[in-house]
Amino acid sequence: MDDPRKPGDSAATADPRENHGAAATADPRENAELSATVDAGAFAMLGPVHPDERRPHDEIQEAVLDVSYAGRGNRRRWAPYVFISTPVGVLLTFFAGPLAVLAVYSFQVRSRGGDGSFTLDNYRAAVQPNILEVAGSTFVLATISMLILLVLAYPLAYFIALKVGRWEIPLLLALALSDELNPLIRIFGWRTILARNGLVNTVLQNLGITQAPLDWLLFTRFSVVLVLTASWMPYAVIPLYAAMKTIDRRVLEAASDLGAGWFTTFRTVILPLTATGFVATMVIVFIPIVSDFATPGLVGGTSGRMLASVIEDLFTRRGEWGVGSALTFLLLIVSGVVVYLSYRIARIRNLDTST
Amino acid sequence: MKPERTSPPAPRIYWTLARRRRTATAVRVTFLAVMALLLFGPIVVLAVFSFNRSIVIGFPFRGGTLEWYRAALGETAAWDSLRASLQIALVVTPMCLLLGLLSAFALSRFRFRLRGVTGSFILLPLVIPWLLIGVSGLIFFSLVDVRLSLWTVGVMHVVIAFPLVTALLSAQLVRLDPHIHEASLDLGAGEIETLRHVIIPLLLPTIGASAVFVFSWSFNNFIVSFFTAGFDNTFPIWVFSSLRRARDLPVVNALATLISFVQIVVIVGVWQLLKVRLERRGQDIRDVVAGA
Repeated sequence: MDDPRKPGDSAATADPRENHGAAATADPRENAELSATVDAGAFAMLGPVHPDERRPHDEIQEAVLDVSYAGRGNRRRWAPYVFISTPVGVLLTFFAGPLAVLAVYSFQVRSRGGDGSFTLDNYRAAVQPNILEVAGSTFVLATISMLILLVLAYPLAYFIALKVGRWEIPLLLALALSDELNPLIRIFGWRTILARNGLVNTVLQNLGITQAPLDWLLFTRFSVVLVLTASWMPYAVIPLYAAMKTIDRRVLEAASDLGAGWFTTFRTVILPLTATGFVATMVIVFIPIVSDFATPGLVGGTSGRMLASVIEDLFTRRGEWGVGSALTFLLLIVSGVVVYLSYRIARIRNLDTST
Repeated sequence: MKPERTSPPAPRIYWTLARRRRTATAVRVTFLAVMALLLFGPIVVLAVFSFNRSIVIGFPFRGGTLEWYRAALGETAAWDSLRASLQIALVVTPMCLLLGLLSAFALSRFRFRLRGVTGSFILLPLVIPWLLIGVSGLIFFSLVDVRLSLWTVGVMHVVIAFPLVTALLSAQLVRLDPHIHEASLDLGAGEIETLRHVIIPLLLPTIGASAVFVFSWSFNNFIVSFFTAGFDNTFPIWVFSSLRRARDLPVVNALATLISFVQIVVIVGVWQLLKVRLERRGQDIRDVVAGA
């Protein structure tokens, strides 16, 4: 550090009113909170870093900030606010604002010609048996898709990260490609494959395996699960890959040197080290799957109907904005609970493996 | 992983190991092939049948034709929607980079009151379902009496995409040596000069990767656009409504193939560019993908 003042000095001479002292005690928590959210938003290929690995670095950074800003705090206190105000302003106006309006609307009479008086009818309408039935099947379909997705994505990430050697970069490129291709075009592709006169049926009939075209391929729950799984695959593989990458290769070598076979290595080393990333990935894929309505809308037919299609219908065709808002809010709350529970479980798992 | 290290090698074991390795390779290759089929099968099928001289997309193959591509050229609604999507993505991407950079810099380089809360708030749009964001946008704009158009779509795309940039960039900033920032300040640079001449050049590969992500998020987004576009069409909306009405499907197919082809060329190009740039700095593109 070129700072002429030593850390001890600056702490002693700093103005007691300057919030530095308070910040220093409050910050580690804040910082943990931030990095936790960074992981939560880990959509971000930024993939969950194992907490044990991140902590020392964070502490160093904290210490550096403590020392270096002690003497400057007064001069540059405006700087972070200048940087942060525009992004926060944008989100307050176009993200928090609209959500607040949605919340208010869910308690108002907002059907066509509604006068906006307050009511609980929207929530009553949103929990009618026929909607609850769709909600139930939505969560079943989303959970099944998520599980299949994870069962396939986990070994794929494992292969790409640790097994394929020089094929790693080409495979990553393929993954990035499939991530960036247009999802609606992909759905279109599935429709042509699964249709009554589509690829699968023609091939099966020409080979004499089936006599009549299979009816359950398209516009059923089967097609919804298949297409959801295929569409969100890259979203699951990339964070899992990131989690695998944080495993120190020497640990794997050590396991092998100690005589562990691949299954033992997998169960006792790889699985515990990627548990957090695994749960984060569950959340990352569950949220978009539950709120997808292009897939059920285009390949679901009537039996594969999902909650998002009902919401779309309420807003765009039936003009029932109040009921739609209430249902949307319920969806948010339920998926929020799922996310929260996953994190609780992840934290418990994490304690298990680190002690 | 390799049990042969513990047991003294006997000739017979080599045979077993060789066979086991061959089985392992076979399993691995089969698995990768199935995944490739799942991820790229639909696109390949579309591409193949876009040259089929049949109104039905499927077998039998009635010989090659470019008829559908010719018809696609005259599909003005589609080209309008395509132009709209490109315009939106081109405006949204720099906005997101700017907002993401500002917020990531503030969050990872300064301590200030409410920093933790602010950080969580900025990343919140990443874990809120897009359906919710789209629907609330629809209600909000009608309440404040703004007519839904491509502009409202753009605004909502900024909201969903810039937190991704914040996340990617702050992950990278946390890993940068804080002394670099310090040194720049000690040498007399202000915060903005430091950002411009020191931090941004160091972050350039991540900024490039973020730009690609944001562009394709915006270009491919369907749900948010669907609710906030009003009577305007973006390309995904056009595909959706064509599929729903099941009208002119071979033409849609030709266009879809064309778009996918362009996307593949662009992504591979950008990837190679990033890879070379990163290698020149002694960095690895795998780390960018892993966000490490």
